Formats: sequence, structure tokens, C-alpha cells
Amino acid sequence: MIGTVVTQKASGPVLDDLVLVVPELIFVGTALLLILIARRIRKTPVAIVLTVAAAVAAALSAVWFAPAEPTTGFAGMITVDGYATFFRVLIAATVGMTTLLSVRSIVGEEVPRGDYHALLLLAATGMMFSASAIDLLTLYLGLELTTLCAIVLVGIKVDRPLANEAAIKYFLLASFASALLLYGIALTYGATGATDFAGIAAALSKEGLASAPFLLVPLGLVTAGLAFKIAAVPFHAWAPDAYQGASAPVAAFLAAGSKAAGLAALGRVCLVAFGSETEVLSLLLAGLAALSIIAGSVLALSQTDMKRLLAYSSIAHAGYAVLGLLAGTGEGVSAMMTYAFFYVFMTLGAFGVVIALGKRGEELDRYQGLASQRPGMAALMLLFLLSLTGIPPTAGFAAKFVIIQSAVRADHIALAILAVVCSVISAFIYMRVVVLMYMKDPQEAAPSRVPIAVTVAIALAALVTLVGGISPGSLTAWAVSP
Amino acid sequence: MIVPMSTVLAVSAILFGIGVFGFLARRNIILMLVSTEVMLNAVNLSLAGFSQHLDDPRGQVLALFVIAVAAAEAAVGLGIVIALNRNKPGAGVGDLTDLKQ
Repeated sequence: MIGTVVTQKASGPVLDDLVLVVPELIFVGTALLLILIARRIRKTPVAIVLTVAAAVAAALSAVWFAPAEPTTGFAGMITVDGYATFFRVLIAATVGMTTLLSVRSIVGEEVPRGDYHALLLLAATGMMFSASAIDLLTLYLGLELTTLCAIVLVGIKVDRPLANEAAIKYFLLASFASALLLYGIALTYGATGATDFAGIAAALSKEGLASAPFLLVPLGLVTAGLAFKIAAVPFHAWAPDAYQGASAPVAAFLAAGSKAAGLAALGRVCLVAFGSETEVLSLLLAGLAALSIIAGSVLALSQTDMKRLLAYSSIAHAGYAVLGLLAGTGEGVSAMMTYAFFYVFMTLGAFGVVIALGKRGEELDRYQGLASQRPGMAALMLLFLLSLTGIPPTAGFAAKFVIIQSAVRADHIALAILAVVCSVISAFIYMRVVVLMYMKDPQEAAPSRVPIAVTVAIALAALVTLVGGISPGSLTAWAVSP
Repeated sequence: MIVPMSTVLAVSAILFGIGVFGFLARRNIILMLVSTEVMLNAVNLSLAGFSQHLDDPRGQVLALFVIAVAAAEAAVGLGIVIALNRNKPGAGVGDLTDLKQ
């Protein structure tokens, strides 16, 4: 056996390990309960209440049960450290807010409510596992659980041909990408004799790319598989179609949660497992980041569907977040974490406004004159769009600032300039919506009343976006790299 | 007789290549699904081979998990194909062009 596994007390009490996965257990337990009582709660809001309660409980328990020192469990399969706790809280918040946002679209249309929320919770469980995975096996299982649940969520309205089409496209590309990731995992295992990150790192530091160029293949395949999860160019083709065909809350969940989990996995793999190959890795990542930022910003210019526009925007933001991983240092990774955190809230907020406006919110042209009809909603949209552009005093500015700073520190000056230039291009996209809202006369009647749950979720997102912009340092204590 | 590692690696690489080619060249959804299964089985073959070569059970455990996940994946995929066929009988990938500007 080449890879010596860091096995923590092989026959220790299992209960100790279970404490490490309390948030996941809460999610799985609630999901199973929802599936069990799905038929009885068809016409009631029980599922919504239970899911929000589970999200709050998971976030609190992730902080409450967080061990003082990084602790590995289940024979070195997962670890709970500051990094995992950070992403667990973020993912729990995403689930809670998505549930609040989906109040109307689920009530209005024939979607099995228990199943919908059970799938949300199970997808989030997968995301949490991929954030705390320190073994390629757990990483793969976590990502796959997320993806399979997300595919079903995209196609959950089985009667709508658009949803079918989005689901099948997402499914085909996702299964292709996970096969690439798996082949990468298999070759990594073959080359290093280990599947745990520490073992891989130890084997690579003894015999790296310099002496074994063959290692470039698994490195590239694993990076490609993970790049698909965060929808980075050239592995982005599924995102616009999936977001457009899915219902808006599901699109918001994919844009926020899926991307955060993918970034969490990519961050840990790059820093811990392939940490000794930073030079080659940062070349691959720089390519991904540059392509994503350019393609996301430029392709968004011609979109007229709001969900598609936000999809291209999310592709560009994936590129910005990857800039933090270029340096291969803990500092860069915590910049990526800050970016992911603020990105999640501003994207959920923007999607929240789209959801609040119902069918009208999904088409760009129909934003005309919104400011005179719904001044509050228009102002909130303005806030989220400013934040997505990266204009102070919003969280988007703070996030872009730390991420570009980390790119400059890693001596990627050209990429930093590119990021700034593309921010300006993206300003055109976002300001197009603002111009329609504030400088055109309304063409149709004011949108109907917004459910209170949706308002609460948007207000929460707005709060984080503002507080993050005013005191960006409040988060840095939490954003600790692995 | 133990098959040498290089042979296992070569066969699995060829199998994976066949899967990739099938996925990219075919336009029938079911055949694309089958192609990804071929790719996954290439992975399993290489995992089993490495496991034998390294004398370490980890690879085989991983392969078992891959088989289980592949079954779940096929269930989800076929479910979506059935839903799609109900709304658009006989649709191939080429007919799926509604999600565009």
C-alpha cells in the first residue's frame, strides 16, 4: 500500500463522528420526513415551514457543533474545519432563502410540494458534504448527490416541454462531466495510490508533474469536472438553458448554492490535494477564469430573458471567484470565500426580485416603468444590480476588491486588468435594466402583491448586500482557508 | 494469470474514448446515455486494475460506489426521457431548440 491513510481511531465510537455531521443529519431527516408525509401535506404550508426550520437549525448547529480544532471523521472521509463551517452556513442560508422565494411558484402551480422541498434539502446535503470532503470518494458522492437532485428540480414541472428540455440538457452534460471527473479521480488514484487529499499531496510532493508529466491528465480531468459544477467557460453550456427552463426559484438555487458548493470543492482540491502543483494548476485556472469573465460579460449583452441574463452573469462571477484560487495561498482562498458569500446573497436578491414580479420579471422588456409602479422593488433591484456590477457601497464592490487584490498579489496583473475591464462591460448589461425601470413609462398594469415570504427573503439579501458593502471586514474572521 | 497493468489501462482508455466519441457523435438521447455508461465502466475497469496493481482495496470500493451512482443516474435520466417523450414524442437532441433567444 503506497498511500498511507490518515486514519483516525479506526474503531472509535461512531457517535463522536455523528456529531460532525449534525447539519447534514438534520437535512436528511427532514427530507425523509417530508417524503413520508408528502401526501398528507399537499394543500398546506407544512413543507415550507419544516424546510425553513431545518435550514435555520442546520445553520445554527453548524456553528454550535463546530469543533475548536479541525476534526476529521469517518476514517478520514470528511473534516469539519472553519472552511467547512463557513460553507455549511452559507448553504443552509441558501436553502432557507430559496424556500421562502419558492412560496408563490410552488403554490400557484402543480408541483408536489413535499418532494420539491425534500429534493432541495438532499441537494443541500450533497453540497455540505462536498464542502467538507477530504477524500475524492466523498467529494464525488457529495457533488453527484447535488447534481442528481438539481436535475430533478430543474425538470420538476413534468408537463412543461421547456422544463423537460432544460432537464435533459443539464442531465446529459452533467453525466458527461461527472464521467470526466471520475476518470480523473481514477487516474489520480492510480498515479498516487491514494484517494484522500493528504495522501495525494504527500505522493505528489515526492513525485510531481516535473518528473511525471502523465499527471497532467488527471489534474486536467478533475479540474474540468469541477469547472462544470461552477459553470466556468468552456464547461458552461448547460447553465443558460437550465436556468431558463427551470422555475425561477430553482434557477436561483442553482446559481447560488450549486456554485458555492462547486467553489468550495475546487478550493479545497486546489489548495490541499494538488497544492504542490500550483504552477500548472494556476495556468489552467487562469484560462478558465479569463474565458468565463470575458464570455459571461459579453454574451450577457444580447440577452432578453432575465433568467438567461443572470445565468451569463453567474458564469462571469464564477470566473471572478476562481481568480482567488490562482495564487494557491490561504489568503487567496479566503478572498474566494468572501466573494462566494457576497455573490450568493446578491444573486439570490436579484432572482428574488425576478420571482416577486412573477411572469413579468422574466422578460427584460417588461421592466419598463417599474420604478413608478413599485418604487421599493425597483430600488432593491437597483441595489442588487449595482452590487453585481461591483459599485461601492455594496458587497459586490468589497468582493471584487479582495478578489482582484489577490490576483494582483499572485502577479496576474493582466488578469486583474481584464477583470476590471469586464466589470465595466457588465455595467452596460445591468444598467440596461436600470434604464428600463427608471427612464421609461410603464406599458402594463402594476404587478400583483408580493407574498410576505418573498419580501422577507429579498430584504435579508439586501441587508447582507448593504452591510457587506459598508463593513466588508466583518466577514474576514470567518473566511478561513483549510 | 494476472493481466498486466498496462493492458488494463489501455483497454480502459480505449473504452473511455469510445464513450466520449459516442456521446459527441450520437444524436439519440438514449444512445448518449449509454455512451456515458460506457465511460463510467471504463472508469470502473481502471479502478479495479489500479486496485489490483496497488494491492489496496480502496479502488474496488470506489468502483462499487460508482456502480451505485450510475444506477441512480440512469433512473433520473430515463425518467426525464419518459417525461420528454410524453410531451414531444420521438424527440432527439437536435429537436431540443426551444431554449434559445
